[in-house]
Amino acid sequence: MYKVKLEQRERVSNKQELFITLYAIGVALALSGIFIALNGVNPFVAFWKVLLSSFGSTYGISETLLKAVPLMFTGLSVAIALNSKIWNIGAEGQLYFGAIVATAFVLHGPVLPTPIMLTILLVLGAVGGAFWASIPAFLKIKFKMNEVISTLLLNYVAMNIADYFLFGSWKGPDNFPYTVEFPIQARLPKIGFGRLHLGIVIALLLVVVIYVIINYTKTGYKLRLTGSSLKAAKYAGIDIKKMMFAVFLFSGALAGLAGVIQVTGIEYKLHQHISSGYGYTGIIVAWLARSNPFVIVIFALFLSVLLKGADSLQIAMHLPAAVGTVTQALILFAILGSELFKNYKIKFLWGNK
Amino acid sequence: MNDLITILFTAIASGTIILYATIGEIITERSGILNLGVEGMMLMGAFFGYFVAYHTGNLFFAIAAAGAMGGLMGLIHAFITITMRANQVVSGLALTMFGQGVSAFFGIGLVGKTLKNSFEPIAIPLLHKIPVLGEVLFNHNILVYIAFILPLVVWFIFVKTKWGLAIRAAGEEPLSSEIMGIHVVKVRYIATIVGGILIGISGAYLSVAYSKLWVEGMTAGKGWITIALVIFANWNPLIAYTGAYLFGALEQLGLTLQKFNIAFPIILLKSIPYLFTILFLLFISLKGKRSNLPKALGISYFRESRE
Repeated sequence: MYKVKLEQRERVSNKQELFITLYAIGVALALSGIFIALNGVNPFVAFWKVLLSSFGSTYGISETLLKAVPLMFTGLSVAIALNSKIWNIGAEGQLYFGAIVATAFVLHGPVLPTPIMLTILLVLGAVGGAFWASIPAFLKIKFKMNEVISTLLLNYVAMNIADYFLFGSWKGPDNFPYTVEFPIQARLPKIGFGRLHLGIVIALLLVVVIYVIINYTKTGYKLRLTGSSLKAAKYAGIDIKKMMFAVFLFSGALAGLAGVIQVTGIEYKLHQHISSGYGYTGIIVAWLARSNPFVIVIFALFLSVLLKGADSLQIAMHLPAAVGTVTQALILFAILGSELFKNYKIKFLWGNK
Repeated sequence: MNDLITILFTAIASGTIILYATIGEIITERSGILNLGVEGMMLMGAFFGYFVAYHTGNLFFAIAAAGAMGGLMGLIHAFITITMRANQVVSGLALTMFGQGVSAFFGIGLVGKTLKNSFEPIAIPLLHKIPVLGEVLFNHNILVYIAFILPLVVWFIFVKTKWGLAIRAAGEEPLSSEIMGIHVVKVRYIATIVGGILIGISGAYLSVAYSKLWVEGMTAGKGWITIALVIFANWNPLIAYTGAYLFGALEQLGLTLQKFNIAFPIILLKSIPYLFTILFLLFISLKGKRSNLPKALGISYFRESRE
């Protein structure tokens, strides 16, 4: 007979934490290997293919970076909310709404010189995302409505609105549900590495800006205080409602930017699949990165490898693309499980003690 | 008149999907565990039920298998949040993703496959002859009838039995209930698994009995609507009837408006269930007190922290 006893321990060192996280990811990948094997594919061959497709060529590397860009935006979006203990599960809908608003300007507004045009589109996308996030923000602050449910339900509504335009007045000339191609002025310039575009520069700039705001400004201090303890924030005289509203708007704006970046950066049109669940994957990125902006870049890259890998496995080995979703879920489970090892020492006691 | 009867009949049939899941989630939440994985669990139930129905041709076996699958997912959630003490929100999200992924991964071979048999409607003698009411209520399949009784049974268990008391105590005051001799961990495990079984059944009802086909992601947010309806029902199984059937009726609203040629974009009508769910929640919030909200909902319970 043995008994398991848990002993609370001090916060683990960063090095230990990294080790535990990597170990958990390893376990998750091993489990996803089982799923791959169940489909009659050798998991080692599959993983090798994933690595090869992501890092095996300069083209692969550029594509991996490309897919990481929207994930950086949605990761930042979820993280900034999570910092204030707000769950923004609606980045997906905010992404679409931002893209819809920007697309409306491209289709119905004037064609302006590239720098002005792109600035307007980025601002409009951010405003669109912020607007879509303001609904659950208002409902939470004014009516105490749980934001997990409201943000999520609004994702479906945002995508219905996109469908409404795509199957209606924005339908392309060949009757498929996508808009006409954007004019050259409404396309983000490439930066000379594959299809990689200016979006990655904007994303990295935002990472630095957000890091500085959170850690070195008065606003950031208020943010952190609100996130760590509502009581303390109240005592410090912070207007919590205003703070929460601002956080929601900023979070939505970042997700909205992801939408604009997608339509102006690679798609050059609006269609139903401008996001492959980037809003949801952003939750994983933010959670894994513990809301640290720089670490978000790393995990956005990691999840980009995974998503891209799933795509290439679908093409090369006829595995259902859902293998990417399964692996993401397994990683979340494993990381959740690993929390225990970070917070507790586990002792096996022999005998009946 | 016939239109109205059809609408109400379908409202009951489609409300049943949500009713099973809502009752399941109420049981789980009453014990103090917040399960946000309903969407994924429903999808797993829908897929696995359809899979078993397709390969065995035995519909009841299919429903049982889906229930078992839902229970297994409940067990995963219980293990992660109770034993591993992890965040209930994130575990729920992981469960949703897992269900979406796995059901799509293995369900790909079932797309476009039709079942050889289906749940036949059973007309209840005498009752089904009542004008309107009889046609709306008493000519359904067996699963709809079970759903008529289920909330009553669960309500009875909650209010009148020792088990019900244990579940509610675990969700309200885990520390004092432990002192009173209730094994909080065990109770929460059971409530999460039983809730999962009902959520799994709701998924199988959707694929095997209601729409009679399997489509990837076919729950389309019904799991999230369920979570909202639990709040709407104030964690009371009896109010769950109203919420679920009202929602079933709302789903029909789109089709109805179409029939009467009301000038409203059809695609936007698809948003009605989601928007109304938010309105439901708003209504609840305006009404004030949520008296039955389990006090310890979503909060991890550490047994040894009292030692």
